[in-house]
Amino acid sequence: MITINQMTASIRSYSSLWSLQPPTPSTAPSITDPATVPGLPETSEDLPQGLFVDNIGFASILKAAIAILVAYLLLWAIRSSTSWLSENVPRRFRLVIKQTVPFLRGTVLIGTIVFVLPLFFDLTGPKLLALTGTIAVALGFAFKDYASSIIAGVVTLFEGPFRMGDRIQIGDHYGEVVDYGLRGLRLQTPDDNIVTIPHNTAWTEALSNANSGQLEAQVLTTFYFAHDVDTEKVVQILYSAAYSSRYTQLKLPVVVIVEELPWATQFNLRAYPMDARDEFVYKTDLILRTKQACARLQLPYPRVLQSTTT
Amino acid sequence: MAGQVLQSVKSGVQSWFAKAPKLEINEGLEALPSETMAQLSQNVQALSVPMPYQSTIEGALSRAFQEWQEQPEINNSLVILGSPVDAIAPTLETILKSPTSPSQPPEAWRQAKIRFPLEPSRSADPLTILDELRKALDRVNLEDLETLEQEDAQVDPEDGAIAEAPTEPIKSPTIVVIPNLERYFLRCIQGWESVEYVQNLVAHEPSYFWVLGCSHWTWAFLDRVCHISAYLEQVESLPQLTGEELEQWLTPLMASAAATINPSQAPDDSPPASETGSETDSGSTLDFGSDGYWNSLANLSSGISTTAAQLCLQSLRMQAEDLANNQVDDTQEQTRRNAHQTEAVSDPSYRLRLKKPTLPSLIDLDSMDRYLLHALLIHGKMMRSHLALSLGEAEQTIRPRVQVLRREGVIIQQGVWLWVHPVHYPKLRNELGNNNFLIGEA
Repeated sequence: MITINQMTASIRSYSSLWSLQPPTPSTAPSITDPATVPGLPETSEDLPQGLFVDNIGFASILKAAIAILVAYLLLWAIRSSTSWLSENVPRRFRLVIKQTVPFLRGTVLIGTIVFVLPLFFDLTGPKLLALTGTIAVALGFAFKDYASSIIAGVVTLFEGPFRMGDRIQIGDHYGEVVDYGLRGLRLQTPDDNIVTIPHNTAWTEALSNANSGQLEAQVLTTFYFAHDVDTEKVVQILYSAAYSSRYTQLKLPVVVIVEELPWATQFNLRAYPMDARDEFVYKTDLILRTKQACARLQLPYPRVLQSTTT
Repeated sequence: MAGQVLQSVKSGVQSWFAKAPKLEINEGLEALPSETMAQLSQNVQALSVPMPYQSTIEGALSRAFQEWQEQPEINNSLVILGSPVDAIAPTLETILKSPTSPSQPPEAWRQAKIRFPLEPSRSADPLTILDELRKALDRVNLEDLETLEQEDAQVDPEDGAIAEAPTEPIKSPTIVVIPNLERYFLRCIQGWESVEYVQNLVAHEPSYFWVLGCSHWTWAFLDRVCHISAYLEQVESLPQLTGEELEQWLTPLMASAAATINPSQAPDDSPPASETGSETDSGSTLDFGSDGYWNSLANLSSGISTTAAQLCLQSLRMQAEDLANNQVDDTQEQTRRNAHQTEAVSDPSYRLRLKKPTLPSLIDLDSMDRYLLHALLIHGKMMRSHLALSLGEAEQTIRPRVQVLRREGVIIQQGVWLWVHPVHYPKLRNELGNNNFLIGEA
């Protein structure tokens, strides 16, 4: 159990580090020289005593405990309610609700910190600077990666390369962003696994976003036919397959791209499902519809030539 | 305590997003017996075409027909659009087949031959729609040629002027009507080739004037998949009915409802005295003549006639006091309920009241329900096998959802045909629109 005195001693040692003077005497005024910086305590020994509030008692500890408990409950409530709400409202509002989660959680965390810190620390003027420096040193030594992830998370939140509900690929992992925590984000993969990726990884790795805040994401479906196939007919069938699929977002364009390969003619069908979540069932539906039509019209598929053995 | 609060908040949010308050039966008022409701639903179909619909269609047809006669190569078609639950086909048939009023000068289009060449119901095999359509439309051409030949044969050969006339005879104008375009396509590969055939035929056959009926939803879909609006330019939407127009249109229905409840009273065109009585209504009931009721009905139904008629029927209540008078004791209650209709006949004092109209609540729809209902709204009436083909599912996969939706009254089944209940249409439109579906304007 850490007592207040132990905490004070710990902070005192970090504060001493922060106020170390260079070994060689210098005539130039130093920023850490108490005589040259108005408002700073005269010696490093005075800092910890001034940093803490005078009357840290049971009431303060109880208030802090209650605040942390309330914050925890609020975070849980935000997570549960937004998750439930986003899955029960019409699709149009799903992403809007999901995207509010990081901001709501950030607000609760900041509010709790702002409430709890003054209960124990006298955060006025240079004392705040002293505490910041102390924390910076502590984090620099002990929680470098954790701090890096948190900072990357905050920056990512405002840069917005992805949002909650987007379908992204980072490294080898592809899936829907289902959670945006303090340290990392969580992806739900098509296999229904949850992958946790630290924010600093998302910061340094290339990130591919399929829908970027929209409900729809383009789905590419590739088909191969024999070179002598009636290409016009195939293109017509592929357009029809896309327009007839119940998943297709008819408000967005459907495109068929044809490419000639040495062993087949390749047809790329690019279309959007109404909900990016349906991308795999959509692809399946397109393939099934196309195969049925091709079988009916007896369109030739490419054949693998088998070498004859003598 | 906290649990109760959470529960109430949860239910409040749920109702806010998905549901409307359920229709509660007021104290002292009772819903009409189901037999009476069924009879009244049939009476709705027998109602005349609402006057605004008639004037809109006739006006648009007169203008378009005149333009066609002046410039046959440019505008030779008119499309009448309505909501997916509007009875567009019967409306068009009634108007186009109705005789000319002797008191008014006949409009030009009434002098034309009017043809309804297509079967009103959907073909059993969707892949044969194109062949059937082609045959039916070719038959129109053939019949016209035969008629012309007969007319030629009847011409007196001694009449020099006619005998020396050019070999190409002048056809009398013909209007070809396809009253329900949604019946001639299915959302599957090659499913709308028939519509492409029609639009090409219209563009290349200026000797006929074409009148087509279609729902906004079908039109929006066909416009995406085969750019139908590029071929059929002239489009007229059925107007939204106002409260006053609904009152005028539904008054005969109210009269027939009163006559059904009180057969001893001679039915007439005006509502019974009890409905228009001067006594002030309290609570959520309204006088028959109240503007508030009809305006509310118009708002809720978005001015769609069929939806308004069904809402109006659902808001009809019998005065419960009168029912109570018939109850002698508790033992007779069941007997009274069983013989509800019989008692209504014997008691002339039943009063019809109109409850404040409300849209019925919609069940929680899952994603399959939404796809299914969207398909029904695009195609109009369709068979379950066609529905399955359109959705790309096996028939047994969709059967359970069809059953649930039918049980909840969201869709109606009559024989093999399925369609969406008009009273649920306003909510379904919002629901599907909010779920990113392509929906029609009305």
